[in-house]
Order: sequence, then structure tokens, then C-alpha cells
Amino acid sequence: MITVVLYFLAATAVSLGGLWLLMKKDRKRQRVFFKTIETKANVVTPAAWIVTLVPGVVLLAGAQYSAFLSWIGGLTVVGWLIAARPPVAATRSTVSD
Amino acid sequence: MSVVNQAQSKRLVAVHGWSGTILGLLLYVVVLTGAVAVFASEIGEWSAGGRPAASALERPVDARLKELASEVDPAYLDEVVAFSNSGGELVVFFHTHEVRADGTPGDVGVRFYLDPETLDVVRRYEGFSSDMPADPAGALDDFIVDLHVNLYAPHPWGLYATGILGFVMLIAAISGILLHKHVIKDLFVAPRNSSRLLFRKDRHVLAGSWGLPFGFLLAFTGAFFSFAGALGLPVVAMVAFGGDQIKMIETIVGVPTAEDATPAELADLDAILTESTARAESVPLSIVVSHWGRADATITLFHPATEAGLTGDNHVYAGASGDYRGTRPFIGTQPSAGNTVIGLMGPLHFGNFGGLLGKIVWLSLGFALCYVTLTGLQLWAERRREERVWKRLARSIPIVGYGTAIALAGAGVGFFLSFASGDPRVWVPLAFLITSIACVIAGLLTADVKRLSTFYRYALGVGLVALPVLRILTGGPGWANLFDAGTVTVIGVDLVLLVAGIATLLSIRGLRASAPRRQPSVEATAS
Repeated sequence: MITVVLYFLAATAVSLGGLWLLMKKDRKRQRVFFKTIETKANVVTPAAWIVTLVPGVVLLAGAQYSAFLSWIGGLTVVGWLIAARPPVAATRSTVSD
Repeated sequence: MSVVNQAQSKRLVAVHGWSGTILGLLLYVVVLTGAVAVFASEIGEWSAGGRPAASALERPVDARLKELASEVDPAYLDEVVAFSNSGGELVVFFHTHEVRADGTPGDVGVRFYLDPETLDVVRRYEGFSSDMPADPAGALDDFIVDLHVNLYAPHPWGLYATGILGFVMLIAAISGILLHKHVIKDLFVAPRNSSRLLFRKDRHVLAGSWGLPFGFLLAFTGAFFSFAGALGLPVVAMVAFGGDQIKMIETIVGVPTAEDATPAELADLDAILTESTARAESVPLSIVVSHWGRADATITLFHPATEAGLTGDNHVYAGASGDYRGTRPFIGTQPSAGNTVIGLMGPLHFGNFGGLLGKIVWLSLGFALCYVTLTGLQLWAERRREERVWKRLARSIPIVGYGTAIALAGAGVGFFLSFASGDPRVWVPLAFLITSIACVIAGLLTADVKRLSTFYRYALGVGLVALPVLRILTGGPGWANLFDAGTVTVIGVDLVLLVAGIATLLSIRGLRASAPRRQPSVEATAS
């Protein structure tokens, strides 16, 4: 089972990197939390989506089905938990009441 | 991009909200118990005080099983099932299929519980399996599974109820997809704190968006398991086979091989166990011997999924010669797409792949869906908080939300207090019921939600911490003994309960310190 865990950890780590980039560059998140919105053409977002999803393709191609399901399930939960956290600066500015 | 116009959107909100609200609290109970039931076998092992590190089927069993076979009524050699129970005992059931006095079919025979080390008979029961005392060691995990599968209602009504709840969850998931205008765009927008209502809407939408694929998957597979046996097969038999269930079963699982009742000694089970273990690279979970002692005997060994795979293997051997016959599909006689899909239903619903990792991920997904259900109910009640009926719903959300978890801990307490001297099959559900009633009374007596939540968190935290302590105080093995025996599962469950209990108690500080949010804004109310 160690191999599955290692595959899962590696794939999740790479995908979380992609998710972090997506979150950083997400214009709606920036707007909602009053952060400076980047107006220049965004080439990072498509690349970040690829980085996020490629580990799943690799796991499927390698017939690591249990690692794939664990990866996609784990990414769903961890992605949600990360996205649910408001940016620190925005928290300070809005939860003052 | 929205695929519905404004009028359709309003109708979808109604469908999404009402479908979730009417049965939402029951759905929450099913989802929470399902999340916990992912670890049913670990909970069973933990509550029984652990099982030997090596399965009973890793040891030589051939001579002992043949000795027992010679003691039972030859009619009971029609089918023999052997597997390890929660406490590690080897359960062997020699039986045949007969019709009971009330006209219903049943398995009748002799069931032995054997010590895993010595294979001595610990308990022996004879008669219809449904009349035999249930295994006390599995009282807690069986109760949790039964609550999830049947809502503890009699067969088949419980299955119908949970099947309907599966469809409710499907409706909520599909309407949620259609309703939400920007599923991908809003994936990274955290709940906004500008008003309580907006915050509640955002957190539900965010959790729902991330959880949609798995909500759909778990609801679909759950509804399948509820309805496939209880309703699906009889309907298929009626529609496609003119009500002939035998013909339908022959079509689905294949025509049985020609009978040959010529007496023939059964092949060496230990040699077959060794070969099957080598083929599957895992110890079998169970063995089924059909027509023991006859020329047409077959031996089927069921193995867990491999490390990388999702579904387990089975290996079939000729009973008389011990020759390998290959594997048998779940449905049909040849490998097929339908067989693959049916085979995937189990792991996709139960999370029983990839060892502990798959279970941890599926438990997390279950908790995430609990969160989606409860926040959806809170949002619905919040939007209608001026109406009396929705005030009642709002009040019942923390009662059921915390109460179910506390009652599950109560069921564990009931198990340990009754395991040594009483009947845990009676006391586990009773303890669950008593704890549930206590939670409801506390909820009705405490008007302030924050005080109520604080009380519930104390109760849950103390209950979780108490379980490992109670396990040891009521005669369960201590950590040193468990470590020496290599049964780390029990230590693992103890630690998880202690950590979860302490975290719940610590979270009370956060609950007390949480600042009140602004009243709903016009923007949020309109949305």
C-alpha cells in the first residue's frame, strides 16, 4: 500500500500547486476580497489547470486506479477547504463588526 | 454559463430546496452513518478488542474443516462458507437452502465460531441462520451499517427509504448543477462575510460545487444498492422474464453446471488457499464450497482488491480435483462492460480500495457532504426565519446535526457496557435511542443556539474521549498488549477518537469567541 500512498501524495502535491496558482489568479476571488485585480492577459490560468489535472491523467495511464480515485477525492476535499478560507487581508477588512 | 432562464431558475431553486429540506435531516443521518460505516470493519475489530495480525485463513484449516464436516448432517454440506469475523474468529457455516414454515426461503445448517489460533469450537449454533444469535462482537459495526443501509427499519422498507433518499440527493445534485450559474468560476470564491445570509449561501454553494461530482456518485451508487435487490431484480424478473426469477438468475449468473452427486473427497483446502493467495497476492476474505464431498463440488475464494486496483478477484477451483477453473464474473458467464460497471459500484460507494488511504478519503468526502446537507438546510431556514414552521426546522438542525454524532458515540458506550455481561445487540440500539432522546430534550430546553452548540460539543468531545477509556476499563486489551500482538488497528481507532474528542472540546473556545455577523443585506436577500 506504500506505493499507492506515495503516488497519491506526489499527485496531490503537484495538483495543489496548480490549485494554489488558480486561486491566486482567480479574478472573482480578487474582486470579492477587494484585492488588486490583474488586468493583463492571464496565461497562468490555463497552465495551472493543466498542472492541476495532469497528475490524474498520469495515474490513469499508469493503471493506478486506487491512487487516482484517492487523488481526485482528496483533491476535492482539500481544494474546498483551501478555497473556503478567505484571504487574510480581506478577513481583516470585512469581519470587523 | 447558465443553462436555465430566470423562471426556470426559480423553479429549480424550489426543487433543489424542497427536495433537500423535506428529507434533508434523514439524508444527513444516512450520509453521516455512511461516512462512519466506511470504517465498519476497523470499528468492528476495535470494538471486539482486536484480531490476530494474521487471518485465520493464512493458517492450515483443511484438516479441521474436514473434521467438522464429518460431524454435521450431510445435507448441510450443500454449501459451506468460511470467513474471519470482527474478533478474528473463523466462522464456518455448513448449510443448505430450505423454505421456512412461513414460506420464505432461508439458509439452515450449523454455524461454528472457531478460535483463530487453535481452531477449537468457541460457539456452535444450529437451525435457520436468521434464528441464530447474531455475533455479539459485531454489534456496533453492524448497527452503524444497518442504520446507514436501512435506517434501522425492517426489510425491505428501510432499503426503500434509503433508496428514496439517494434519489433526493441525486435531484439536489442535478438541480444544483443546473442552478448554479458559475460552477467553475466560483470554485475559488470563499464565503463572503458581509452578511450572515450571504455567508451561509456562499459556504453552501462552495461546498456543494466542490462536492458535486462525489455527491452525485455516492447518491447514484447508494440508490443502486438500495433498489437493485429490493426492487430492481423483482421488476426485471417481472418485465423481462414474465416473473420467472429462476430464469432471470440463470441469465444473470449463468446456468449451474450439470449435477453429479457421486461421492468424491474434497481436495486439499490448504493447497488451494496457498495457490489462490499466490495468484491474487492477498489472503482471501472468504471461501465458499458448494456440494462439499461430491464430484461436482466447486471452491470459490474471494480476495480483496489489489494495491492499484479497485475490485477484488475471485478464484474458482474444482472441488474434487483441486484444478484451477479461473475467475467468475459478478454477472453473466463472460467478462462484460456491465460486469465491470457492477463491480465498480462497490468500491465507488464504500471506498474499500487502496487500503486505509481510500477509506480516509471517502470518510472526508462523507463529512463534506454532511456539511453541504446541513448548510443547505440552514440556508433554507435562514431565508424563511420569520415563518414559524421554518423556525422549527432551524431549531432541529443542530439537534440532528450534533445529536446523531453524539448518539453514535452513545451506541459505542452502550456496546462496551454490555459486551461482557449483557447483550450488545440489544443495548447498542437502545443506547443510541436513549442518547438521541437526551439530545432532543436538551435541544428543546435550550433556546440559545450558541449555548446548545456548546453543550453538544462538550457532550460529543467527552463521548469520543470516553470511548477508548471505556474500552480498556471494560476489559479490552491495553496498548502494550495490542502492540505486542501487532493489532495496531485498535490503537489507531483509539488515537483517532482521542484526537477527534480533544479537537471537539478545543473547538468550543472558537465557538464562544466567534463574532456575530451583520444582519442580511438587501443584495443577499434578493439572491
